[in-house]
Formats: sequence, C-alpha cells, structure tokens
Amino acid sequence: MFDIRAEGAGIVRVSGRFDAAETERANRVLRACDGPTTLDCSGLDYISSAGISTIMEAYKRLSGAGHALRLVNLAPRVKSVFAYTGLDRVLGIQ
Amino acid sequence: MRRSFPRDLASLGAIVTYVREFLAHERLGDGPAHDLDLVLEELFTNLVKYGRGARGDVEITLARGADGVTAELREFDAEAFDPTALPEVDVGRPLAERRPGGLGVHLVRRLTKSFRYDYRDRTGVTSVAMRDPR
Repeated sequence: MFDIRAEGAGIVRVSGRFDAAETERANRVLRACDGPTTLDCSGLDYISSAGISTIMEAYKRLSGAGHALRLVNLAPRVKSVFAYTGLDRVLGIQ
Repeated sequence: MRRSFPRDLASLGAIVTYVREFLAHERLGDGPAHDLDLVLEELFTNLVKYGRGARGDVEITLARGADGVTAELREFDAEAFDPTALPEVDVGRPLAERRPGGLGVHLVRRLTKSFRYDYRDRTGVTSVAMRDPR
C-alpha cells in the first residue's frame, strides 16, 4: 500500500509501492513543496518508471526555483531502479 | 498460468497478486518478484496508455521453461504498437536535456534477455524472458 505525506520542515515520507496508479496522489503532495525538500524513502518497497518520472518532475520544478530535492534511505532494490535510469547521481540519492 | 485484467491502471494490484500466485505455484520464492512486477507494470501501463482502439481485457501468461521465467501480454482488436521499436533512452544525458517517457521500456530492456512483439489479425503480443534475479 502506497503512502506519501509531508511531515513539515521540508520532509516528505514515502512508503509502500509507488506505481503508475499512484502518481496523481504523489503529485498532489510534491507540488505543494515550495522549498528545500527531503524525500525519506525508508518505507519505499518498490518504484516504477511512473514513480521515477513523478520525482523527476518535482526535482526539475524545485531546482528551477533554486531549491534542492534530496532522496534518502532508499532500499537497495529501489536504488537499483534509479541506477538503471542513470538518475541516482542526478537526484542526489544518498 | 494465464489470467485476464481490465485495461486500467487499477489492475496493477491484481497483477502483483497474480505474480505472487505464479511464483508460489512454481516454487520459485520471492527472488524474481521485484523484477517481474516491474517489467509487467511497464508493459501493461504502455498498453493502457498507448493501446489505440484495443478492446477488452489484457491477457497475461506467465510460464517457467528452459528459458527461465517468461511473460506474454496479449491484447485483442488492437492497432499495432511495437514497444520494442521505441528508441533507446540515453541515460547519460543531463536531466534538463531529457524528454519525458521511454524509461519504462528502458527498464524492460535492462531486466529481460529477450523482448519481442508480434502483431497478427489485430492481436498484439508482447513477450519477454526475464534475466535471472540479481
């Protein structure tokens, strides 16, 4: 089950399975971010290209406004999907 | 093992359940689950988004054979849409120069050892053989 919620201080916690059926919900939360943002992925089990594209869009919007978007605490499987797309370095994944 | 799914993103959860049933039936454990989930989502989502004129459910067949785990997605009464013909994504390009789209098929190519499309009598069939799980 997918969940995404802003917890204040620029922290957004995302968990569960981020698939193509969840992009609208994620977009609603990410589009409300208007400053430096940290996406805590410690509960994220799975991400597809749809989820990655949603995060890319948020990264481009925030970086265009001069803000950083960091992704932290990714599980190895999730990190490998970002690595396949060459975005692990670009998105500041730690 | 074969099952049909409504052509809707809401089917993704049921496809995950189907993959678990297949892996349990074949006594394969959870090792292949992640990559198989990912490949099926990317291919199914393409059919939902780009399947022009297609009607009815998408039929997904999972099998285990000499070529390892294979999957086949079949859509009926459909216009041809060949995902294997889509251009490669240059993952080395800076983010600002990247266009949206194409990542899904890129992931399918990374996770499979064969990726084919056949179209005959208005039926489109996408077939993959999975790489062994990492």
